Amino acid sequence: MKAFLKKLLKNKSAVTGFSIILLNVFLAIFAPLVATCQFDEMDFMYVMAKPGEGGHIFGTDDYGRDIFSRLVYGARVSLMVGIISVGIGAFIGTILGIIAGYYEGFIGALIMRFNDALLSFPYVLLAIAMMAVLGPGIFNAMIAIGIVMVPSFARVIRSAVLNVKEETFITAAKVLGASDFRIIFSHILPNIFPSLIIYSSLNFSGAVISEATLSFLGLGIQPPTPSWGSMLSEAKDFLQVAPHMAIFPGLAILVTCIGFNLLGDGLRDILDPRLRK
Amino acid sequence: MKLLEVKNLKVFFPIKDKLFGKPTKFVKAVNNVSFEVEKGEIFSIVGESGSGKSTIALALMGIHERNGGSIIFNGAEVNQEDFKTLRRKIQIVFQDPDSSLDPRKRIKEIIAEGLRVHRVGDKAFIDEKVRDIVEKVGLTVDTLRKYPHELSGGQKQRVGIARALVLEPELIILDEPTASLDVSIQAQILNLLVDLQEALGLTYILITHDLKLVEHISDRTLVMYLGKVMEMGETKQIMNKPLHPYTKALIDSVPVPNPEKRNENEEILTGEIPSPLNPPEGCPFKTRCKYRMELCSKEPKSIKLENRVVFCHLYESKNLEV
Repeated sequence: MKAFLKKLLKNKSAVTGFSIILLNVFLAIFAPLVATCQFDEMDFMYVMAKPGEGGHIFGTDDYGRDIFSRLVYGARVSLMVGIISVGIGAFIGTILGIIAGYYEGFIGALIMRFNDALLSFPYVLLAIAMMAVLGPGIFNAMIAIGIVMVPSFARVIRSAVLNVKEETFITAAKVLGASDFRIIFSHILPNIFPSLIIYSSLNFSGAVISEATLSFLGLGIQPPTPSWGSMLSEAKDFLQVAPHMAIFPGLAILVTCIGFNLLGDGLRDILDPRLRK
Repeated sequence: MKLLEVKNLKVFFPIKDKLFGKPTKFVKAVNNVSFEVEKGEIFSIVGESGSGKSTIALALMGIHERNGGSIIFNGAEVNQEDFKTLRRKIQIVFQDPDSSLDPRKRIKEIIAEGLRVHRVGDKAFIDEKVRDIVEKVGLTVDTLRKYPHELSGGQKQRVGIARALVLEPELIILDEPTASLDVSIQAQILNLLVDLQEALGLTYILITHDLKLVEHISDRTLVMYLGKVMEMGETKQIMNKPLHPYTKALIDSVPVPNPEKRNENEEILTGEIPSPLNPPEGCPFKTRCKYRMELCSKEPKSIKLENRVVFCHLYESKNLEV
């Protein structure tokens, strides 16, 4: 573990990504201390104020709410949605992908056809259907977004497994008498890890945007609680008069995604012995 | 003493229908192959690529399921369920050391895996055993901390040999052990294998297409073509006087390092090995054989001749001298 941390600190992209995410988490936890206003406090003197006007560093939105403060509070929802729903999608998708890839045959075909069926729906529709069953609310939204991600994760993981499975070292492990369980956890999982990390970090931004879509439809977070995605979708009506309303939440999503991608890249390099030196 | 006896081994791979997954055809990768391996000998299986050599190895380990035939090891019949125990007694050294070692594991973990799988001994015992084996195959102890990509091809192959040896098997299958190594390294690895055989009383099955190698180290040889046995017997005899036209062609195709001694009546094979999906009926070699006759569309019988077995119609009446 110590050695792992040492390597993490040596890797520039991992350190940058990790700091960005840490900063985000810090903002989310200490939001009441960092924010200059309450997230639902309206300043009627400065409606749609430009950045810097009236002490609002990122300006205000159409209700005169401070955008900086809303972003800080929004980090709570957006980070949670991103991490938890990607976690759900990656976890279930990896299990299904490994089963489908390693065992192929009837079970594999069954899983993949079911996957294809899910993939053939527009994912927003699928998420809405899921929300209709689960009921509205931010946690249900995370579950719905996570489950919608499962088929694509399963597909990516399955193809990675199919690749690794053909390597001679898998045959060598079988020849030694290793069980399927051992082969999957000791040989296949570590070797598909890069695909898993990269695909997870790519999906983070997708999850944040999906939450915005669901919130926009009234299924996710309920106003006035802010999330980056919902701020973005509220801003779209004022894009011409007040572009800063869209720019700052967009930047927040962008920077966080870059953070996750950098950390993902760094982790991949750290965990690959071939790239270590 | 017979260590291994293989009788009428058959391994067929189904070609599945895309939509419904029903097998429509079979590739007969190994078809009716029988042989015996004596304790302490080097038995080689030679043939072109695609002749089913490696399939035999994996069928012996139970990785490929048999479609027929029996395997008798140390006097006891081996069933599909018995392979877990058999996998301690028989091990394989693979051809390509690059892909046969898990890139994410340290050499120590790679060599120790067999011991962990079979739960042999505690941590201290495993450490001791791994160190011991590593020195036996001519690597230094500090290699243990390294990853496969930090080693050279020859060192990786030594790790592969160490991995096979750690379970103290009685029989080691060498699947083209030197084919992907530099010539200078090949000799080192061969010497190591021969030394280990003498020191540990091992039995080898050597799978290769390199006839020079076979001539150099093996006691008896089995020649395969398209999943079937062509000829089997003492290596020296086969090399000096091949009976089957295929064996003769194979031996003639080995280049002689002497331009003046170029063989006038040498038979160089023309054409390609037929697709195993659609092999010729009767003798599989008939499409490329210059002694081809009408009889060849019938399955050749096993003929015992001069202390060996040959599957060729030419010798049924012994009317042709080769």
